Amino acid sequence: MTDALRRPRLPDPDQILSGRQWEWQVLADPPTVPRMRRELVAYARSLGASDATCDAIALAVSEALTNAVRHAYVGQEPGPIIVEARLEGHNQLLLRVSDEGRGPTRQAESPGLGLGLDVMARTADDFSISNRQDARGTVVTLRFSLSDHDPISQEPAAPRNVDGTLRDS
Amino acid sequence: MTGPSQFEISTAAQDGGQVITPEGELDLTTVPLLEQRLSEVLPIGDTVLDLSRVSFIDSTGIALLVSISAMAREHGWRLELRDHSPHVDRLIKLTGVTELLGSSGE
Repeated sequence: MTDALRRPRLPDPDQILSGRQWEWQVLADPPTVPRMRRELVAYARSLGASDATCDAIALAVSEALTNAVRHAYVGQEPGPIIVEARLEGHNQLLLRVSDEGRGPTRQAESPGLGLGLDVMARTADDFSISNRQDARGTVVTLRFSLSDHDPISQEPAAPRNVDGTLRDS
Repeated sequence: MTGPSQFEISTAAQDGGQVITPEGELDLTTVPLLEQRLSEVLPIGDTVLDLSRVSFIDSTGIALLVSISAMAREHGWRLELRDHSPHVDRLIKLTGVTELLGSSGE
């Protein structure tokens, strides 16, 4: 196991604001859940996310990571979890949690999974879970509006209206 | 801080029963610790689970609260959940299972 798998490092927020997509590979073991949750919440906060938005992100990210740790690599050695963060538009934070495991499981086969999925659906502005298109495994996509504080534009009116429309659609 | 969850459970005697106070984040890394402590003390006598020092709780923590409440009812053990912080209260509401937990000690 490499040190890189053990120690996710967040990019500089200024670099993310430049539009690049960032990606970390972490090991699908339990300590990854609180560690990445805190890192991503700290990042969202640095972008100006409100307390309520940070709570929603903490909860949804915790569920996505917990699902991957618990269900992706059942009966085998823990594999990687890939976490991506991307700022889209002015204030949409896109988070993607992927693994290389057995793919989405039916709820009946994994008691307890249902509540986590429900929590993600409730907390994120947009949520999806599916088979990865590019590889074996599951991908969870979560989108959050950071519209309480626009991290780029200091002009509140126009971008917020546009983003509000997108969020409600 | 990037390490595993900082988590402690304190136990205090009160009115012939016990008050269990977990402190820190309740997720899959810490729920087993609280579950074990509660399963030890619940059969002994009245138990209060004080949630005032819980800084985070996700569905894994909620599932424990639901299952331990059900187990207490089943065995006739007295368990009271109390003192959600406003922050935890908001997280519990976000999970949408408030109604499953019964008394929140508000």
